[in-house]
Amino acid sequence: MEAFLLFSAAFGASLLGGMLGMAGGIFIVPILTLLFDINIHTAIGISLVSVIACSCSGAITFLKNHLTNIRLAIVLETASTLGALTGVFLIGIVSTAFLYGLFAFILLLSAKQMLVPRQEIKAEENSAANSWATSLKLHASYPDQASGKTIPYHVGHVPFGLVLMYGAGLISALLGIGSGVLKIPAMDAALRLPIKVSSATSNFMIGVTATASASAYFMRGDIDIMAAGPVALGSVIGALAGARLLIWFPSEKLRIIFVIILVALACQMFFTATGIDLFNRS
Amino acid sequence: MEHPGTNEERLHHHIARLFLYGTWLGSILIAAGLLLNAIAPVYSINIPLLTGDNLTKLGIAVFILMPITRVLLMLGNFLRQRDPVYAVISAIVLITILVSTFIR
Repeated sequence: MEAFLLFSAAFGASLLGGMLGMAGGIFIVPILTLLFDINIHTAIGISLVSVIACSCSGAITFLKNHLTNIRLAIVLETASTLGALTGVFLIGIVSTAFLYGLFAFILLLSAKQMLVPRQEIKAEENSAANSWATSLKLHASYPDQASGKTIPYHVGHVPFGLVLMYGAGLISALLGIGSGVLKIPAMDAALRLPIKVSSATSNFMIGVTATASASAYFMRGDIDIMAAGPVALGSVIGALAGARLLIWFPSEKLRIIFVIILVALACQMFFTATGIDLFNRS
Repeated sequence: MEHPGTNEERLHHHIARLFLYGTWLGSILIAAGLLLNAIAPVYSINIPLLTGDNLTKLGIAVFILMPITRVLLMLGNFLRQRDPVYAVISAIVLITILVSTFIR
């Protein structure tokens, strides 16, 4: 019975996320800790598995459409996996109150990003010949479905991108999320990628970043297998269903629902961090 | 500005296939494991190690291994293409993941 409830919760979260073109992973830890009363460390391990499952299943479509810049991804992963490794070190050290508080902050950040439309900032056409992006041959192109043309693009500040990815990896390991909330703005603003390429590349990187910490949890026996199983399954199916339903639902209304849920969860996570018990739950 | 060329597109295709088969395999193993556990009170299979818990665990392991395998695929590709810079970059990512996995 609990397996079915876990499956349904993960399915719902991923469905909603999928309809908005983003991962529902940010909901998993709050749902598990607040609704299922699961210890936050255990919830993080479960969420990491869900994040990997969503990243891999989502990547299939992006890769088939040749939107992903895999070279850029692997370059940035040197930083994000290092961040994840740092996070793995810190897991035993940071307090659970800190984790709840950090989670509340990330939820609010996600809510803010949902409300502000993404802006495409193009990197300079004549970027320096000795820029990291040029030396590493990261500038590329992507096929635009609408026009049928292949559109070239330049990649911006790689060193700054690396610093941001380190942070994203650290947060991913600490909170069990994909850190798309940090990666996507980093790719849009610092790396100056076209929106579709940034979404595709961020989604691609999330799996590797999450695996760096998930494998540590797995080897230590810290993943609750009987909870992670239904959650992973629900996440994959929900994400796939959400992506298909994307076209039928008005994204504006969904955005508002998403923001309301994010803010509500942020408040509850904040209360848990500070020990405030509004509903007298013991 | 370099165009990735068909080699890169082939790599995209291989990685997409890895994720497709891996996602199916992981999902089926997890579903089978959950099903076995659900019917265990009524009907159980007498093969050692073939338990619902083990099957589910294997399914989860498949998901965790997929991104690692993807990095290995990329490493192999860059070595074949004689691209030492990217081969080293891929190797660094792989080593970081391994250190993170086994660090105590």
